[in-house]
Amino acid sequence: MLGKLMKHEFRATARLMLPLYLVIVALAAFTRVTNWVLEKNDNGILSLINGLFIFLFIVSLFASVIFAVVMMIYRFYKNLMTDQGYLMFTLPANIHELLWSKLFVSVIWFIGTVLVDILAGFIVTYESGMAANLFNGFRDLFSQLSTYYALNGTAFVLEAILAFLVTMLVGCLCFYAPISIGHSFANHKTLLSVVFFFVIQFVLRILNIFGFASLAQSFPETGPSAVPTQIVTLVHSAAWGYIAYELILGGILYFITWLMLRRHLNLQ
Amino acid sequence: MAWNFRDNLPIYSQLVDHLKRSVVSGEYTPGGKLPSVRELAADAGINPNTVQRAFGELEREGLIYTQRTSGKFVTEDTNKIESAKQELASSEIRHFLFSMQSLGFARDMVLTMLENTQEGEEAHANS
Amino acid sequence: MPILECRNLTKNYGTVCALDGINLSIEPGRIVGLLGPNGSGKTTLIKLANGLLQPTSGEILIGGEAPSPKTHAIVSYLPERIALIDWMNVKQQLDFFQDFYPDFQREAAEQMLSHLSIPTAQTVKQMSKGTREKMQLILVMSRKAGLYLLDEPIGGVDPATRDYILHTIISNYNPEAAVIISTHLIADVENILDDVIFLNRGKIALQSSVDEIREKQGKSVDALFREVFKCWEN
Repeated sequence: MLGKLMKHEFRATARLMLPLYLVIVALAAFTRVTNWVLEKNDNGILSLINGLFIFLFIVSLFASVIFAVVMMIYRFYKNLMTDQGYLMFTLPANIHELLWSKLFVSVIWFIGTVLVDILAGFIVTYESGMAANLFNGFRDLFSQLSTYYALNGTAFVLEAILAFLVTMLVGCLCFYAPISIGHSFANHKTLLSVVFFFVIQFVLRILNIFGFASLAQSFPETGPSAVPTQIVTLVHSAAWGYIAYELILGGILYFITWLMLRRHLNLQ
Repeated sequence: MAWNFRDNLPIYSQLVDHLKRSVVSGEYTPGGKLPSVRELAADAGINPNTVQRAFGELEREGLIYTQRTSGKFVTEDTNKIESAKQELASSEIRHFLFSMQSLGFARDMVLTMLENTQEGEEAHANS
Repeated sequence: MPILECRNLTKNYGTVCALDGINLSIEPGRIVGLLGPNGSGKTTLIKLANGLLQPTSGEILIGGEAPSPKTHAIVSYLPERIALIDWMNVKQQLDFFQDFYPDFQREAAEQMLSHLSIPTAQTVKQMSKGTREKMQLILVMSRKAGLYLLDEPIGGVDPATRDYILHTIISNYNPEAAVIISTHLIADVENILDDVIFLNRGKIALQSSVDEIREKQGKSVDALFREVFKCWEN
């Protein structure tokens, strides 16, 4: 069932995301072309058009991220909290499957959006030999880090990716939970959803402060005189500490969402 | 379009009546096959269980029988059909007489009216 | 074993009692009318059967089990609202149902679509309200389910479609399946019902076969309903 739900989820969301990606890539291409034309013949009007495209392109990069987030929220609301919920919650699938299909697909689109934005960036700025330069640059950076600072590059990349994924999952749940709580009430569903969103954010901020404080406390020796190995340990611990912390928060938010949908569903 | 049924009687008994009339009038020929439960239910716009019950009743009275895999058939026993016909007729007459009585007509008055109607129809047919 | 069973089923919304100690048993092969005024608990009962609500106390069992994804697979539910995905066209909807429900019969659905002249290229968003209702009904009735829960199936459609819907329910009749029809329009459905349940303010006011009502009371279910639920005092 999870596979089928994800397939359906992709179909439903691709019709919005893919055109967006197309627009971003198209804007990038246009920007690139006008850049190139401008190089050949400097012209007042061309300058203006070029400027316009650059502007639109940069706006589209920001807009794409915002769009992906808004779509993730709207999709959850539309598919599960409106009349469509009558169809979705009576499918032969359990709530976990319904939730994970949305979480997985949302994260995949976030990653996709980032990748498309990077791709668009390359389209606009690419120069020959750039790829090779970049690749060599990264490789050098990695070897320097591991030689001088005993920093395991691959582990660090892995931690970064995990941290990124976990952050996105929790990010989604930061919206799913309050929406599901707000909609368990008979009236003022939207208002309450917004209220609970801020309540949860508030609680998270406070927890973050505590979390940060305790993290700082457990590493009293770090300071200007810290030895590189200690810094490395700090970085790794911080990364895993963060991942664990987000997983716990995510677990709590997931449980709240699941509970609301399973026991307090209130479709009108 | 579904058949019309009266409100105050169970549908199955109205269906029994309807089917008896179809058998007696020859609409369903002796030995002929009856529509399936589902067909009849869909046609009449009623519950298949109701049709089943009506069939059961008719089978009990001996007017129809079930042949294992082929369905339900009208009896070939013309005596049975004849007596059913007689029964229906007496029932009609009883109802008619009761009706007329409740309108205030005495029996012999009713007979006279019947004769007059008969003559009137014959005269009309001849002219 | 009964396909639907309620044992002292109670559902409260805060202080309001929507269902109060309901005891009910419906066997396969029966077409049952769930009748009652607004707010009597009909929709609550149906939502409980679907697992969209949880009982406050008591049990509701579908084929002996509490509502779950497993029971969803044998229950075909027609909600009162339109629960269709608006960007899908007809083919995509058929694909969806076929994907999630192994008991979905696509040819039957396609046949009904042509009987009701529903244009296949339209998306749900483009369909009129009446067409959407027909679409939803076709999808629900094309499943070979063990229990059909129809919440107001004929309320919003024209008389010809009403006849078609009732005709479909009859021709789909399966002695191993039960159909529960929740409706206000009693006179229209009475002829196809085996049994009726009158719900009033969360309690069962009457439970009987249609035949019994006509034999014992000498009136139709519709007439009896009007008597039982008369809105004004003499």
